[in-house]
Amino acid sequence: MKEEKIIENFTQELRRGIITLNVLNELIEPEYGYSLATKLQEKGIEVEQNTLYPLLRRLEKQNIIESSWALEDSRQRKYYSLNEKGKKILDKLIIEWKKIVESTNYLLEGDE
Amino acid sequence: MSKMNFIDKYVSEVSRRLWKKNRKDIEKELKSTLEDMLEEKVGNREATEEDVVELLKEYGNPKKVASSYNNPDKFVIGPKVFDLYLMVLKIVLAVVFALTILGSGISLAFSETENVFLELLLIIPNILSAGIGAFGGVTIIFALIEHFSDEEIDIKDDEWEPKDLPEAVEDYDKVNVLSIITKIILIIFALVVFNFYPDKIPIFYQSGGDWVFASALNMEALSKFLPYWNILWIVSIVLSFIILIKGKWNLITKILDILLSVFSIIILAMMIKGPNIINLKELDLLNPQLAKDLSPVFSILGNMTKVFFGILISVILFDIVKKSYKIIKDRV
Repeated sequence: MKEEKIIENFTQELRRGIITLNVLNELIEPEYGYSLATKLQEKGIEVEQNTLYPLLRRLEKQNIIESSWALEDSRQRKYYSLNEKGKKILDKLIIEWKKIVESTNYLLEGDE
Repeated sequence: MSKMNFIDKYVSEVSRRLWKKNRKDIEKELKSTLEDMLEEKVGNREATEEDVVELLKEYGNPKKVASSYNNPDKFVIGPKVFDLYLMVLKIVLAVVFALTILGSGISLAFSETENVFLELLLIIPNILSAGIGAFGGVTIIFALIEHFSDEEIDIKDDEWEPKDLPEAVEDYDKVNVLSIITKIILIIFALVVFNFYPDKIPIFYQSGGDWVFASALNMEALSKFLPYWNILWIVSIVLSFIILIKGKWNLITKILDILLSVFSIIILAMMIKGPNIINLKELDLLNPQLAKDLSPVFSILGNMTKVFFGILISVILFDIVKKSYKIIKDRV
């Protein structure tokens, strides 16, 4: 396998690992799928639509987020937002994330 | 063609691959997302057909989009590979049937047995066991692919063209009126011909420059099987009329339709086991010499009708599997 391809695969795996955290964090405020994708993109997080919508569906099924339909500019939009359980989970995930970043940074800097 | 039509067709192509439970919701969301994306893409100007085609291409192959929604843990053979599974199964079954029949035919040709009929009978369990074996084998292989694939089976994005999408499905229980009417007409035709004019199903031969015909059907065999066919045909006609009147399929009519297919398989299997449906009895009365000359041809023809029944059985079986899968998918 080519070097770039290997790097691309690893990067993709890293992104895939944190996508749930990114999405949950954006859903503190209600968002519909497309606005969520755009916001994530603006913040430098690329998510394919084909990943995002099934993920939202899964999170909803796990009862972490809630959804409701709204009519806007003659268009039906499904808004998603964190529920109480989701907020608690997000708080804990953020702590976990910080721990991972900290220890990984420590590890990487220690090797330099 | 309007640009929205393209989006509708695309959404429909995705949603018909989904399970009923989430279908409407995903349809609505996908449509509104595509419209948002289109708006973003073209800005203030009016979107053209090319814009829509480009957008759909970017969004990806409908099969891939649908498979991203379906939870792969849930299936023995999931929607990702189901189309491929059906195609492979069709090919493998056709090849297995052909080879079994060919093999049995060759061994029959070289065998010195007196009891050809018994040998012929033995072909049926051979075909059945080979068919079941092939079916099981292909299914196991695909179940394994499904189990170990981890979404690595790539659905290629270049293998589809937005302009080739079929019309959007408006109603999954919609009745195809034309096909049902055609079916009723064909059944009535079969009912009339086999019940009232079975002697008119002929073989022709030339006698002194004139064409003469003799009945080729084995009346004895026919009288044995016809009552079953009559029951099947009449129930089919009644069912077809009920469906036409209701204008829609429902779970009961769909299951009845499948049961009728099962019944037709049973009759066909009986006909394979039973006596040949064509014979030379009447020709023998009219022209004994010709009947004698034709008898080897007829014994081959007789076997060929049985092979044909076998093929028919596999086609109906395949149809039953397909219909059952659709029933399950459209209800759950």
